[in-house]
Amino acid sequence: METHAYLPRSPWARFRTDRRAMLCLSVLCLELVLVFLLPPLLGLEPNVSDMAAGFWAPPSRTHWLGTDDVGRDLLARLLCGGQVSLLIGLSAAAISAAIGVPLGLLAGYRRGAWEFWLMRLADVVQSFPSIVLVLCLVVLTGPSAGNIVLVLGLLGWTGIARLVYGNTLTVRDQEYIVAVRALGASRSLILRRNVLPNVISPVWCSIPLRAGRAILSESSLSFLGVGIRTPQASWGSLIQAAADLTVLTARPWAWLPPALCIILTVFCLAGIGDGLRDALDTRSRRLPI
Amino acid sequence: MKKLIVLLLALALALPLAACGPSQDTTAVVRYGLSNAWDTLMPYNSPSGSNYTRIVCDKIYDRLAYVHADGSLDPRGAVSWESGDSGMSVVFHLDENAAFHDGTPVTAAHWADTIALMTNPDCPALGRSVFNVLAGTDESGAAIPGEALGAEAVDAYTLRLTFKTPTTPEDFLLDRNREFYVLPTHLLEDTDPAEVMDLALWEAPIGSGPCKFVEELPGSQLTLQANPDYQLGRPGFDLLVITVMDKSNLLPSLMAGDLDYYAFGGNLSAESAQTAREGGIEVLEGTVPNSFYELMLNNETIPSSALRRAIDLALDKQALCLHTAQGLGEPTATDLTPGTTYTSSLTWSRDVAEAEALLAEGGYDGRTYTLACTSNRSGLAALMQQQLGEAGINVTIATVDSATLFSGMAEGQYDMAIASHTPGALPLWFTESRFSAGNNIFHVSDLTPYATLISQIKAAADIGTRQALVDELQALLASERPFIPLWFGRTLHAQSPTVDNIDYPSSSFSNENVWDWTLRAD
Repeated sequence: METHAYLPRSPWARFRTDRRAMLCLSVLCLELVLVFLLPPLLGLEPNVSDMAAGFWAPPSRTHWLGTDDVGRDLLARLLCGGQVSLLIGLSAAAISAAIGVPLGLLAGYRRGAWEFWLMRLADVVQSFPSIVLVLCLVVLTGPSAGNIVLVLGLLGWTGIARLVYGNTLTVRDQEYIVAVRALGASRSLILRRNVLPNVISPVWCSIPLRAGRAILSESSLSFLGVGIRTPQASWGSLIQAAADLTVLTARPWAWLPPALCIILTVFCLAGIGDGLRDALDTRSRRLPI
Repeated sequence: MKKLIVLLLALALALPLAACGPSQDTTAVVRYGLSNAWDTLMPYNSPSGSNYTRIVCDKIYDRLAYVHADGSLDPRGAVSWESGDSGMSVVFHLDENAAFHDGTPVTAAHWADTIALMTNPDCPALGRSVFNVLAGTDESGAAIPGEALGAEAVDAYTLRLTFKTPTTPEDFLLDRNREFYVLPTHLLEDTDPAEVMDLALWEAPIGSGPCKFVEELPGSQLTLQANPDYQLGRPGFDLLVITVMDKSNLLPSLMAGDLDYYAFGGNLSAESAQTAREGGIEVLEGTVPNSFYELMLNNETIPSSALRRAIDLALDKQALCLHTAQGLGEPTATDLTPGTTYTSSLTWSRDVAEAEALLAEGGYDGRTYTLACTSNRSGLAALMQQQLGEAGINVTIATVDSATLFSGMAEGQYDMAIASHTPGALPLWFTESRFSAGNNIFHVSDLTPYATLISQIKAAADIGTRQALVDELQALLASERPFIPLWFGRTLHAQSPTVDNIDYPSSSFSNENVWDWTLRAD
């Protein structure tokens, strides 16, 4: 006879049982603490040149990661660049979700013209090569952290809207929704109280993935030279500043740390997304032993 | 039937495999890298007036002479030249073998008609100011109605250019040769001057240069073909493919064998030299300054000369030069090219305390100035921002492309901008074109003192008088500081591993001796 182990009831309790997801979350939290607390604690100045150390100085006691082409401390720029990259990633993902969830709900629940126009709009937005579209919009609006967040956020809603739309189509004709509707509940109440809680789980899973993608997009934009404004740093702009054959071959300290940070962060965000998916999936509450 | 099907299938398999064999294509192609795109193939209509457009037009169109890096001159469109009319004119004897790519011989009438058309006030030529040295033109280079234009075809192969002030052939060619091209005016006879720039001809141009146009992917790639009838000889290749690529990819592409040469003169920095040598590329050092860096100032938004001098004193030019030129350059207080006939006793220094005093004197209100730069100079801009910040001058950096930078400065959009130029041997190579009503890029409110001195220098007959006037002009520039000279840089040249006879240093005058280039047989 097959026996079953019951997983904890709350999603957070279930998430905590996922070792890989917890490791990813811990690393990400540590990263956040480091990039936001270390610069003020250590008094790091990301935009001040140390002319005594010189340009492109190798790692030393004074500059643990060396200096860049302007003689600025690379550790300070890595940490402050991390603030920018993480803020851009998380903010863009939040904006995408804030737009995508209500639009997906409306399209799926109201259907008709709402469904047609919103989903066609999503088709149109998705039909453009995303990096080209983002590149054009950032060039038009001007490269700055705020504009990059807005552009990435405003263009990233389609995936989330489709996810919510698909799930809403499944949920809208369920008996409990029909019952609430028969009791005379308003449309907004039904959407908020009955539909949203039943379609939101996959969105939580996709937000970390979207944040990871936004970090990569910002890095790509910075690499292409239309990222944030000089002298502000981001992980992408640090790699872009090192995009020179001599630097790539002879000064790995200039580009390796930001590259590793991007890889680690995107990996952790993907791991958290996977963990959330498992924790929020009601079908995986009982696992056979 | 079965055999037939098997045979057909075998054939179907064999055909694509046959295509995998060694290529039979024996076209000799020179792959040429360029870090910025040309903005037009019409040489007199470049919005940026950049050297990238000039170096491309240099291949398609012909010029009067070939200018070497040391200032010496060789014949090109003209075989010889001499001064006339007591120095007021120069007579060029044109090469009778020169012909346009459609076979039409190039005559003095083509040169005279080109100048007449481009100076026609109805013709919207953006590069017209190059003609403002000629008699019968105004400051913008437009022909003055009723006055005789200083471009005349004396006979079929003799061209006379008459100037407003005495000008030697050497002065004229060193200063203007790179902007004087002959156009196929026989194809423009029935065109309204106002519509010349809209012609489809400029999308597939016909010139008389060493290369013929084949095809263009605007902003990306230009394919040219060797002109077998070029008067100085047929280039030693069949095709010249000019590809725009990021500056950082030029040297790696040369080392990887994806490029044969890159403009300008295979320039590379001191720190890339070691990488290049390790990659098997020979590197030679340039002998004459090939770049001049300046900080352009908007004299309208920074109206006080005290403020402008404060900016000058706040900058550590040695550090800026070291950052960009890695030791291959000398900071300067003037725009006079080192090693030329004309010198200046002015020196530069950094004095933050004096800069702060001048800021107070100039009434600096703490406003934030916008410093424009191209993306490859963002590090330099960041260094300037810090140095100016140390003196209390607030600066924000705008990273833009080259064309936007110059148009933004012309429109007064930016307060400062970092620019570099190819220096000339003449004392007015920099100032003459920038202190005129037609091109007042520094937005100087009163050009009169500059214009007066510039015209006096041009009119001065002997070197001694000229030097004294040059000193006076430099003293005026130092006290008013309409722009800030930063440094003169020399360069290193990465030698092509596949093309011989390249005159690397002379590319700094935006001309390349492609007719001498030969692709190595191996």
